[in-house]
Amino acid sequence: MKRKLLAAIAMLFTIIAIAPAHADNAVKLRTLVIATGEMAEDLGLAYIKPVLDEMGVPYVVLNARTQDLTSAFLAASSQGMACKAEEAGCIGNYNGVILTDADLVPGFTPAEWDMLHDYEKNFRVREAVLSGWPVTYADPKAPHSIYLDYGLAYSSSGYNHDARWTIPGRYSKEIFEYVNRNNPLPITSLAFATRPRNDMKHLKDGSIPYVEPLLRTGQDEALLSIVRYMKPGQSAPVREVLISTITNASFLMHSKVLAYEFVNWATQGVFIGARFIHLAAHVDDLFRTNSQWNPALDKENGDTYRLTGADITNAVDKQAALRASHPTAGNFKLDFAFNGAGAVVNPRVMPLAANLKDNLVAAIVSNKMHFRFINHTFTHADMDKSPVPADAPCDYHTFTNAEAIRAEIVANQNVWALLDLPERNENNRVLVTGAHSGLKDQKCTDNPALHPDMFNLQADDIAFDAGGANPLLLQAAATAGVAYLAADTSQKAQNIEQYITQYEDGSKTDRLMLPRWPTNIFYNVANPSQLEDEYNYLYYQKFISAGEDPCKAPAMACSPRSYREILAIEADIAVRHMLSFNRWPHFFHQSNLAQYDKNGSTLQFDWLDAVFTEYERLFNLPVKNLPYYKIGDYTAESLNARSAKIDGVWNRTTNRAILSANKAVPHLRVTGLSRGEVYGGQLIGNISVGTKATSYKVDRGLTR
Amino acid sequence: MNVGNCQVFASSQDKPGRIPGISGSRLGILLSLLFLFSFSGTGSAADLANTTAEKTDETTRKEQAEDQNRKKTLQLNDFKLRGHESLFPEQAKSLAKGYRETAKMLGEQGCDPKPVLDAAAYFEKQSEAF
Repeated sequence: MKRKLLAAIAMLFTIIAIAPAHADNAVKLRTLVIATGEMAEDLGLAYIKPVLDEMGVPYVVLNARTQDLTSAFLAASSQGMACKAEEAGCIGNYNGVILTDADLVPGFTPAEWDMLHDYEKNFRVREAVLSGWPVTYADPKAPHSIYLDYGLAYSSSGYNHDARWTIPGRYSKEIFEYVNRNNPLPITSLAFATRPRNDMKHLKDGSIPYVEPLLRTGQDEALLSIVRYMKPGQSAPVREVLISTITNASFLMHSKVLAYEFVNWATQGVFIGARFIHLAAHVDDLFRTNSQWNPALDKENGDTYRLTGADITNAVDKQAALRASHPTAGNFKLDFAFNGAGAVVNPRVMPLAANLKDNLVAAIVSNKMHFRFINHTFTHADMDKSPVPADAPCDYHTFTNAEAIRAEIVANQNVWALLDLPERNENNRVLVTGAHSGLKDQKCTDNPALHPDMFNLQADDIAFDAGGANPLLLQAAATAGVAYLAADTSQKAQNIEQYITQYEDGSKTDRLMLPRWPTNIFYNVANPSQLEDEYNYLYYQKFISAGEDPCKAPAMACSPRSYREILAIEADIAVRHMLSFNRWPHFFHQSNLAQYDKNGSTLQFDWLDAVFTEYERLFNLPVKNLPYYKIGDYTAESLNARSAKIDGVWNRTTNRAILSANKAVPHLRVTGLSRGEVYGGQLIGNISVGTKATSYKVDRGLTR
Repeated sequence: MNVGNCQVFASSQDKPGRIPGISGSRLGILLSLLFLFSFSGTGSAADLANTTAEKTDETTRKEQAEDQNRKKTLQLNDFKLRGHESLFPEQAKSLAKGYRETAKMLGEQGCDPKPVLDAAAYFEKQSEAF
């Protein structure tokens, strides 16, 4: 007995001698995504990759079909040898693991599963599973021990669930804090509904999966669960997994709702990058008139609409009502993209004089603090390339030199000063050209009435990336001090935040393209019946008349739609845009702000109300409503951060994150840093990093 | 080999002829409550209850109709956006292939692969729809 005791003491001393005095207990701030194939093959990878990219989260993809997982891939010493957390200097390569599929067959072997689970246990790293069958797999070799088990039993399959949130109290400050748990989440794709087994069956490492459902079907089946792998006698789980048995894809609304948590859960809320929800509404063409759609003729018939002073005071009231009725709207403001030629006494007479006798101009000046403004050029002139030869017929007037275009930009900056509109200096860096002209070549065809033979006037356009942009516009913008140029996401190669590098503009810096979302609230409509008629003409009747199937058209309008239906479809699309986390504004036109009934209803505020209503059914996270120049600044910051190689290590013993980059990144968003901005119950730091490593205190925000 | 977990289908625990998820004793209590609510109360109180019930029914119907419309919109936009995903047919095909692999694995493990084969067939169909 004594001998045994002495041997045990000796063994204990040996263990203490071998174990380092100070193991690092550290992981790199980087996510491992294990996929079943490339983007073209893996729906899950195609779903989560844009989310990680948009948030700015560093990640590595392991294609389980073609690559083998090794221990050294997960954690390696400075000599490149596989190492364990308890060894001094051994840092885990990932602080979170995302699997695009639950079983990763046939690419992932039982040995690879063991390796992954050992890493997760050893470095206390969590795993999130995006989709798949709730498997339990036993080793084919005797003694057939279980190597993969999510603790779930299959119950049923379905394509249509109203899922209920059932988040246990212990997780209420940690996950899905930002969803509206009072409303069901509609699941519109194939899902395997399951039941937690919560039996005593254990895996080969002795751990038992204990399941806590977060999202359930009407029959109380689990669709999304946390699995905690417990060992008898231990209060803390040895491993934690978030598993979805719902099919997820980037085009599904429920997937957009769930996306953030796969990243947030896996990384324990500490990661490089961040997400914010944005919404901005740009009302173009202020001070201009817009042609109006005539429902009786199914075309514009020469009638126009220009906002009145009463429309502006009504917009002030409606904006206040919107804020009051939507808690997530905060201090939401409309942005007016204006054309100053309509706000001066005579646009051809210099110096320009503000036309304050015009009730619209007077109302805007009186209420200017309620709105924001953007330079939309002086006359809304077309900035497209000139035709070749110069005297070829063209639907629009074109400029033949950069100076004339510059004059359009600068004259509007002068009107800004004349009207004393707010934030002029900040906005001198921003430009929205008339109809986003100058970024593609329309080849002189933009008036349907002049080309009855053309079904689609855009068919002959030369896109931005095919050399269609006008270099004269880019030169003029550069000399006028414009840094940010608006683009239309519906146009080819304009749906990307990008520096315009491929065109020579004579400047050392490049303009930054800022995409904006169009909507189906058309520029030439001021009331629901006009909108309903034009919508159904464009997406239904026009196809019927041409002998084509409208169900196969872009809007898939298989029958005419009511204003209410159109609004619902548009709001749903806008919420999806918001949940993509990008900052892109939606653009409208001044006609849409006309009061169309005695209650002061407007198409613009109908849309905003519908969007916020739909958003708040799903989320309670405050919506950021940024001025366009700030959208430009933040986009520039994000692009700079994305172009840098950023290294981060989270030392869990000291609870500090050490960050550095291969170049200066003055504004890096990091989630889970102490003293950051509180958003959705988490702290989001905006820090400056460079080649010298800097340490920051970590705060996972679990008490907020 | 049978891992022992895969054949525990929760829905199969319900015996034929029963409402899933409601045990015999619970069903009895439920029916008794329904009986009580159906016949208790008379006169104006009953009328009031009926009116309230009608209103509640109307509200419920309206809410259900709104939910249905909302879901239709969701499905329409899902479908529309899926049509814009040029990679989707190949992804759906790969997913179907993956589920067939899973079904094979389940078979080897002694489990019922049918729901997974159904899922494979579903995604196979989806890949051909575009």
